[in-house]
Amino acid sequence: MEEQLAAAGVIAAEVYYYLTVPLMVIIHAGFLAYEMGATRMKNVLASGIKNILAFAFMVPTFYLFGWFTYWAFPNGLIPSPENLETAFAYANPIGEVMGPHLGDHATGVFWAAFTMFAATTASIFSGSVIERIRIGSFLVLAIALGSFFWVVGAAWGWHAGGWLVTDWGYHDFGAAGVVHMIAGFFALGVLINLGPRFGKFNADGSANDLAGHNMPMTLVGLMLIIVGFFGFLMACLLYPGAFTTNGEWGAIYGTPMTLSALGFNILMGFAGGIIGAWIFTRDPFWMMSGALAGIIACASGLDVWWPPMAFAIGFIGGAILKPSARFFENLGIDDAVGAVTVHGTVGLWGVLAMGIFGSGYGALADAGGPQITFIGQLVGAGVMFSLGFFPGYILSLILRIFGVLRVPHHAEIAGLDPVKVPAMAYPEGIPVSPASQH
Amino acid sequence: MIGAPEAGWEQLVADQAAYYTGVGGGEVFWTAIAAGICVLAIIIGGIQEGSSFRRYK
Repeated sequence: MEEQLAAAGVIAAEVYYYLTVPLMVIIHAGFLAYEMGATRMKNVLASGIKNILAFAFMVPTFYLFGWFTYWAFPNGLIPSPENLETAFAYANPIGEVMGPHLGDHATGVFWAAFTMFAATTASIFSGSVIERIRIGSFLVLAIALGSFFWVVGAAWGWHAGGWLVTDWGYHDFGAAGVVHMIAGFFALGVLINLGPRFGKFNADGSANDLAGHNMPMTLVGLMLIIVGFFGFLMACLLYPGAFTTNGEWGAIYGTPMTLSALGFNILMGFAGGIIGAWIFTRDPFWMMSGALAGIIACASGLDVWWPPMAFAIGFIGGAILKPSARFFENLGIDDAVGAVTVHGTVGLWGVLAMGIFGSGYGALADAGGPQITFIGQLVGAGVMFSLGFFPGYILSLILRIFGVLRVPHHAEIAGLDPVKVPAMAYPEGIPVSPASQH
Repeated sequence: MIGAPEAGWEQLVADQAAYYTGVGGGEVFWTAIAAGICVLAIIIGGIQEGSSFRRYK
């Protein structure tokens, strides 16, 4: 009887994680719509192709070395012999369990869920560089970010044996630092070298709004990302029995967690973010970005927030969007979709909020283990910023020096679709009504 | 199926073994092919894009 129950638990866990995968694919449908809507008509299909290819390249590269990285690097920059042995056992791309295996029900679904996290990370970066980045360089950068650098961050701070957790008590249930900060600040590093779109800034430094061609598509895209995030955050739990030892649900660190907590806090954070952004911007683009910002702001502590507190933390996440975007714009950074702000700045707020409001909780399941502290979260935030910004800056600088980072000026002016896409987005054009001319 | 083992399904289930090779090992050849395709695709895609830019001038 016990054996049958255990077998049923393993099958249920397999189904649970499998179902998070199509939900996370919805994140990509959302990013695709979001990016294309935020792009001017002359570049729309080029943006779509770039976004789809980012997803496509994450799959084989995460199989080849991304999954291995997660298991090999928890202890720091140089893998320990024990972690290398684990990595070869679980994630060797020519190993037995990295394929259909009747004795292993876990590897494929875990790998798939993590691959979707990787693809999400690359998609975050994708939107910020639209309309002027070369596809080859974009793919190199996306692979470096999605199949290596964020995975190192995850090994350090989203793993029960990661040194940020064991030494500093770093806690980041929903990957505000591990995914969002790394991706957002990687984008910042690239944007410094990539430069702004032609026409974004005037000679006096003032900025022009280069409006995307379809705001409704962008809004629907952002809402789809929210749908997919339920799957992302669902995949952040450990299934009871199959992957925890006490029969309860757990966070990735083995600390207590329930789906009930997710139900309360995702929705409260989402709502707070929308309302915060609405009050301070009245702009529908920032409102929907606020929905995402609200969830990211709460992500680190979705397991521990009291729901009204999650609402307030999400509200602050939405409220700081416009000031943060203006700050980067004043520095001459052209972030076409606000990725640095939504993911970098708000991810930072989320990590620090955990330290401000959640200090004292255990970072690991052991009673004598490290506690969550503000200093630990600050150290973690510094590490996540560095893992994102410096690789993004250095890699894009190398690509710029070789002259392969940015598209030629004549192509940018003409539009990337007529120059390099063998299809037309709107062959019959888009009808314009007098009401839209204001 | 390439590499299908001689043992039938019943034997594989009893052995709880991987069934894509039948000998319990990964396929180095196909893994290398996948890696090579990724690298070549990026290179070829970049070259094609560069050609488009030059043609449009």
